Order: sequence, then C-alpha cells, then structure tokens
Amino acid sequence: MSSYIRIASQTLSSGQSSITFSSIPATLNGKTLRDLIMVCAVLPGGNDSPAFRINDNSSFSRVSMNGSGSTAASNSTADESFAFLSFPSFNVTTSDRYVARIEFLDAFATDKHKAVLSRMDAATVGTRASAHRVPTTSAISSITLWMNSAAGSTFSLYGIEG
Amino acid sequence: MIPLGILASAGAAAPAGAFELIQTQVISGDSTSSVTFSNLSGATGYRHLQIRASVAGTKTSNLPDLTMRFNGATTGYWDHTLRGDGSSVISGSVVTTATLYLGTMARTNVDSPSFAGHIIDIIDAFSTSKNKTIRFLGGHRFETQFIQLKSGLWQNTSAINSITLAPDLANFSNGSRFSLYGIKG
Repeated sequence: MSSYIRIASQTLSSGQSSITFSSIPATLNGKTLRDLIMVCAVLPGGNDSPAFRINDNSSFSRVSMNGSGSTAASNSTADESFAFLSFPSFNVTTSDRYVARIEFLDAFATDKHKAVLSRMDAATVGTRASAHRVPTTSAISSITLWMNSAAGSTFSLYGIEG
Repeated sequence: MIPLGILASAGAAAPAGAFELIQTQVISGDSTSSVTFSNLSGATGYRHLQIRASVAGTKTSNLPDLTMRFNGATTGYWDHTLRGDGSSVISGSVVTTATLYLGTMARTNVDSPSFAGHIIDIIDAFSTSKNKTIRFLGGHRFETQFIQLKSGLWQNTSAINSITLAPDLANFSNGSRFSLYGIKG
C-alpha cells in the first residue's frame, strides 16, 4: 500500500473564512505517519492574506521568497500570530485563483520545533516559497487554514509514512 | 468554522505502490558524517525518487550545506540556485563540481531544537539514457534562515544505485532524519 495516504478532503459548497482539520491521526491504515501535506485550490471569497495555524499556536516565524513577474524579493518575520503563505501586503482578490501546498515535516515529533515548507502560486499575483518555524514540540493534531474561500474551493490533507 | 476532522474520506490511499517508503534513517548522536541509501538497483520498479529530510549539522560557524553524490561519483555535478535570506534574493550556479550542493542545514549550536526542512526529487533516477535531474526545495527560519529552490544535474546516464548525503564539513546532528521514497511512473 502507498505511503502517501489521504487523511481528509473537502470541497466547499459555500463560502468559508477558515477551514480546520482536527483530530489528525499519527497512524493510519497501520502506517506510522511522519509528515503531513496540505494541498489547497482556492477560489478567493474576498481580499485575503492566506495563512495557517497549527494546534492553535499563535507564534510563527517565516522567511519567504517572492516573484511578482517583475521583481524578486525576500523577507522574514519573527513571532507573527499567523503563518502567512504570502506577504501580507500581497493580498489576493476575488479575481485571483491560487493553489497552496504546505509540507509539515516531522509533524508528529515531540522533540523538534515544527519545520514547514510552503509554496503559494497565484497567476495574477506571483509565486512564493516560504520556510516556517513553529516553536512547539507538540505533535500536530489540528491545522486551521485562514483562507477566505468561495464555493468550489478544495482542501486535501495527506499523511506520509516515514 | 466547520471542523473537517477526518470524516468520510479518511484512509483513502493512492494506487498501491505509487509512492512508497523505501527506508528512513535517523541520526543518533553527533558523530555521523554521512548517510547512504544503497542497493537501489532493486528499487527499479520505481521511476523517480524523493528524499524528505529534517536536517541539522554540528558546524558552529558559517552555514552548513547538505551535499549529495550518486554511486560514489565525484564528478559531473551542476546546479542552479535561487535563494532568499530574508532580505535579498540571490541566484547562483556551479558547474562540474565533485559534489552536488543542496540546501543549508540548521546549526545545532544556535538553532536547536529546530531543523531545516529539505525535499529532494530525483527524476528518472533509473534511466540509462538520461542524465539525472534533481529538484530541491528547502528552508529554515531561526538563527539560520533561508528559503531555497535548486535545480541540480548529475551528468551521467548510469542508473542510480546509491545516494550519499553528507554535511559540508562537520557532522549531522542527533535527530536529523532522511526518508527515501520510490515513485512509480
């Protein structure tokens, strides 16, 4: 059986401002999970700065690299209350479509801060890659996506055996 | 807010064997200078390989890089890098070196208990008619901070039988983890 296992998926039937995956299992189908991957295909429901939180943590650090089609830039933040997938100043609008892939490495480790790699791509805004640190050694049990999303947006959570 | 939990579609897997764990190695102690995945000729049911890693090194000054070699070869590695350090974006390239430099690792002396995340894709790893292409995404945000995309090349058409990962100077730190996956195609 594959080591890449779908945990849950959802296609929105109406708009939502946030989506939560809770009770995330550390084992599934007899396999011990090590990493988590979130894949999102979003129809924005309004101007937004997409972000995520894990376990209701409210302290995140990030370093990002962004290409807008005319310039490339990098910035970093410490102790943000959300893990932003894009620069807060680069808000997506309702005319945008974007996809986000968020990789949570060693998601269930209890001796490591959480290392997260994200990619966000919106054709009308730009492309971004970010490395996030969540200063918690707790296993990830929930992920909340703060994405103002319209009906038809899809969100899928996968576990990777390791 | 509607909690999605793990209802309904929980446990659905990709087609059997499409993405499979081959091996995980976790470093114990601070004296390991390299990690090798070997005997990969038996893994030729796969087309591509992926390494997922959380890495830190014992190097205390400057930035330690993770390096990679195939089949023990010490020639034919090229790469292009796009890297953000929190204030600027840097692009670089290396031609025909003795090892493939991937991304920067965390440093245990200042970053513990934080590790850098690395995802390495090796495309058509077992082809005997193609040079090997590597894609890298990695980053870390603590005292050491970076986000990096890299394209690598091993200018060799041999099927990959072994992969050796090593820190650029010093050793891997306790708890560093390397998981190798085979991907069918």
